Amino acid sequence: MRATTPTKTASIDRAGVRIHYEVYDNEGPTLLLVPPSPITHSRIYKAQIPYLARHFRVVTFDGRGNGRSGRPEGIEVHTRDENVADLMTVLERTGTEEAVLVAHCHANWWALEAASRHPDRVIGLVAIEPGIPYLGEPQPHWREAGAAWDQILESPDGWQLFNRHAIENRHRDWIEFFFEAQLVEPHSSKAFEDAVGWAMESTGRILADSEEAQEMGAPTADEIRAIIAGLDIPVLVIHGDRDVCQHVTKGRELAALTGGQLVEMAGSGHLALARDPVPVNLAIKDFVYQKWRLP
Amino acid sequence: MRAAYPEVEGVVERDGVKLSYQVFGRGDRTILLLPTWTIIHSRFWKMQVPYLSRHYRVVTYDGPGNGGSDRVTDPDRYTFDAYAQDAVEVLDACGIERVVTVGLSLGAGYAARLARNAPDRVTGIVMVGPSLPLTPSSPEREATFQKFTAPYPEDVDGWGKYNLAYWYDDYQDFTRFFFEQCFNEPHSTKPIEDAVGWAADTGPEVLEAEASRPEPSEPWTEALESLSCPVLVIHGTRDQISPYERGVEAARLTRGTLMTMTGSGHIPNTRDPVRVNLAIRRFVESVAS
Repeated sequence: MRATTPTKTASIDRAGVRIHYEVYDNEGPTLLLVPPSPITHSRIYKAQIPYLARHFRVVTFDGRGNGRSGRPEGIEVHTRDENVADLMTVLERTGTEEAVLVAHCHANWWALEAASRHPDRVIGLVAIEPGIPYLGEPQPHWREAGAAWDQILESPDGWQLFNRHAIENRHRDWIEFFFEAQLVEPHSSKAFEDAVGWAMESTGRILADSEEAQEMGAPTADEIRAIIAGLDIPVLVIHGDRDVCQHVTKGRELAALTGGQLVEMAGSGHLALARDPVPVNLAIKDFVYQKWRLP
Repeated sequence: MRAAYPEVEGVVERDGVKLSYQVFGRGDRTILLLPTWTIIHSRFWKMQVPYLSRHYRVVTYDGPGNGGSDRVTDPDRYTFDAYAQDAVEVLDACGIERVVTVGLSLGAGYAARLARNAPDRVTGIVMVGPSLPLTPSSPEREATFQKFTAPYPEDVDGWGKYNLAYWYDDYQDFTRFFFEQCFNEPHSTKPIEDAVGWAADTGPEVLEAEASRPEPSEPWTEALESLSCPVLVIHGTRDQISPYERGVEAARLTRGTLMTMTGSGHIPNTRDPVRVNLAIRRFVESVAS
């Protein structure tokens, strides 16, 4: 049983990959909730959907590689371009002329590129724990693990599991380590069980492919900042100050560069949307009301 | 920060024992949330107070032995009739004539004694997981009750910790074990932590006194059959403290309504508060004021 059920649920075939979406009809504007990686799918927003759908039209979809979407393998099918094309196609096929994108973690990079290429369609951005490269303070645990990405390690442990071979061969170990590290809040057993369950609906191979693809053809730091500076849409950034996936300074810098609003969640980790949904939901609702509903 | 703060906080003294009470909300009708086993205090109603006090006046108080009330060690202060008298005293202090009472576990017994002794004060009773000896305990539990005052074995485990000497030796470990049995639903770490914390506000001296109380002179079956007010019984099918059959029996004896909480443990008001709160509200609305 869910707190609310979609008014429409359907799949698109986009260049041979099934993309599954759901629509919760209501008055606009439309909020498109973008999942961040095949490490999860649209259910990551389960604590947002019932509340937001009472106020706005909400569209969700499963990203390629997880949920009810297809499971394509290969680096070339998981690029940022493919993910941006997926989300734009979902907008098109749901008859959504314009939408506020609500993005978590890596999806913010896609949202950024979508907004910059389609300023007529993307009218706002809610960036939750944004994972945009170069912004904020360096994160040594990612950099060190990434440096050994292709190496075959003896018995990788902790962040060393962020490694192509470890993710493929010890998928669950990486997933459990990762979400345990993210769920810094006490009493997170349900969020942990959910997150691990959704992650295990995909495969280590797909997750490793998508991680590699994310970095392909990455813009330089200056290019990223130029894209951000070129945005002319309202932005709300929500970021937990104990986030170990995307350091809170990323969110701060994104808010500063866009002149957006920043909601810093004291004591929250990377999954504030699951562990502290009420303030997250209220911040999103207030933002959308202020920008698009009030006269 | 709490979701709701009391309008009134006070202390009432009965025969030299101070009892701490709180009044929330301002409705015309009043719900009295009774104490339970004094191993925890009135904060165990934390998931009920904010919702119910939006619709009704809600009175809570700490029974003797925990919370803001005196740590009495006289067993006579813990009889079911003494609890009932405490409740009357609190209502008098608040100037409240009639209430719907809600009692959890042993609190269902306090509610029944209150309604028997002061029938004009009680318009309805909600019993949540009533823990009254209406049907036999499991053989395992029965065996441990028999050994309550015996020395406990070296490798004490499980219900073996329900033992007076063990309470004195490792009270916190007993409380953790006990609340793990109460909250057997998945993802109950927060309720367990809360309850173990409230249990730490009292100790084995108080619980020993309460365990030594005399039983009421009127048998429970007769007391329940004699109740004249409407009764709602809410009972979890996986209650490991007081078997579900006891809730069935309590509803039958009181000619009350039974609400079955499938999969719930002993304290559904904490683990499934929305359904319990809505049921309490529906019941209050159905009871003539």
